[in-house]
Amino acid sequence: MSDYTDQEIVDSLKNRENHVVAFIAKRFMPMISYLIKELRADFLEADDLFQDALMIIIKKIDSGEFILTAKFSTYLYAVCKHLIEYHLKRRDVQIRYLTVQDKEKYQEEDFSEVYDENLNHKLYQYYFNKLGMNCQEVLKMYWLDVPMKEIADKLGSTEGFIRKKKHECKKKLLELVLLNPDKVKSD
Amino acid sequence: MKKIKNYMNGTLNVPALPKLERKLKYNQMFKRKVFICNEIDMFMKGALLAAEAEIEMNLKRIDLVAAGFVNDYFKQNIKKEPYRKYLSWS
Repeated sequence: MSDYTDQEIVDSLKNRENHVVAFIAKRFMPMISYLIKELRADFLEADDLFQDALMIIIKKIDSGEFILTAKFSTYLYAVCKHLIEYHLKRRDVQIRYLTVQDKEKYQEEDFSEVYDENLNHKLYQYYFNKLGMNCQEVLKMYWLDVPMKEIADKLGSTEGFIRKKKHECKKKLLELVLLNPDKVKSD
Repeated sequence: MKKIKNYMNGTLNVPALPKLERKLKYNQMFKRKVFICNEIDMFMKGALLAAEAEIEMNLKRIDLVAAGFVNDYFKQNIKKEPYRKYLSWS
């Protein structure tokens, strides 16, 4: 999948070129999923939110009112955040009209799943911070889709070495997460 | 595979059980490792992108711009269907 600059993304959306939608989805869907978890809006689907946010942005691009003054991802993030807040407010109003039994049922749903997920996310971040600085730097750039060649140049190393390093760091992180030697608990 | 199936439905001879149990346990562990490995990638990627966006959003006041976008969207009651067909990505 090729890379697009922010301006190319905007132009492609204006011309209704589908391929760019696939690119944006692949690259930014983890960010939207993360945002949903952070704002505790698990009742929302990341796919639906992404579609609505993109629709809003396309509408603005069409009207000629859209000027890029920040990264495209920042606009997408900000629009998604406002959409989630809108849905949360609406949901709060709906809950106010529920009966006591309905509310209890509502709160019981999928508790264990949410608990596990929260613990896992806490473990990932905790043990990531326990890794060495070099490992953290390599992994951060890898997760931000920086090409291996560029990472190697930045760290004054070879591409092969960085690949090996990334592999080792991920292996170490995985081991720590699975073993949980510090006995990290969920909140 | 046949042995595993027989083991699962309880029709396998007892002496073969420990080896198969180990195999099943190993398979489960392997699946769990792959699952967690992918989940770490997705979660950390999302967290980093979100952190970057959050900083830029506050610095350049994109928050306000986005609020305007979303308000307009709900005010105008936009029909989603004409846009939907351009927004498939799978």
